[in-house]
Amino acid sequence: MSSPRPIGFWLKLVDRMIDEQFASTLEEHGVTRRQWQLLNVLTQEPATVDALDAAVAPFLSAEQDESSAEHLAELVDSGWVVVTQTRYQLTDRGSTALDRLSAVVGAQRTQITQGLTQEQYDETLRVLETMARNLGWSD
Amino acid sequence: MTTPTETRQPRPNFWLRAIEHRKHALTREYRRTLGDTAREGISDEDYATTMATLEKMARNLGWSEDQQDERPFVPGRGFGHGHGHGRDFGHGRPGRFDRRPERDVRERPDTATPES
Repeated sequence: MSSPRPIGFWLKLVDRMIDEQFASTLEEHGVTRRQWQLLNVLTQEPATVDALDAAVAPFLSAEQDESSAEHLAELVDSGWVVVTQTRYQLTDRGSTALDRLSAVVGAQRTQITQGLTQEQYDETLRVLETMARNLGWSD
Repeated sequence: MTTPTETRQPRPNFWLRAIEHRKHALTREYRRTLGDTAREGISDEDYATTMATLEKMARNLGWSEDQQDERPFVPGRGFGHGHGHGRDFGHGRPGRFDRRPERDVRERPDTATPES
């Protein structure tokens, strides 16, 4: 399984493929990535739009003054999320749908590592973390 | 008519090429240094394991050797090269969930097994 290709090739390739597979899966199920993130935040507890904005802040476009509200509107229309006074709350319907979608995403993650031992996987994560820290990343 | 000073100086194109040359040289050096820095504290064996693991993951995701000269994945088209996934990834935009919010998820439990 040795390869002459540089590690950067594999890093970019795997990163892009995982990213695209995830995006395709969400799209296939009619959910945007932002909505996926918001639904996951709402599994913890009901939240205000400000709290939801804060939770996904790095992904919202400041230039376009993007808010979680516009992403939540579709979820509310679909009955996945309900507005209770000032908070958004996941409904049973939304929870069920999210559980099923999470199962699909989880199964894909498992499929990606098929044929690898836990030791190989753990070792790879350790090496990648070391490389990231060597390059200046920190918690 | 040119002045003596102008005739002794290289043309602008010379300096542009010189800048490009040095830029490429510095980029190569920077990348080499960056690579060395990134690998600090990592044994050759562990590094090889990482490379092999990443390659395996790429293949599990549908990449194959014959794709090496093309983009392995085209955004918005999914794994549209027929590499064993058997799913309709990205082939036409699906209906938005605001039309059929739960149907997509509830009626497709088989999607949990991508290779089926």
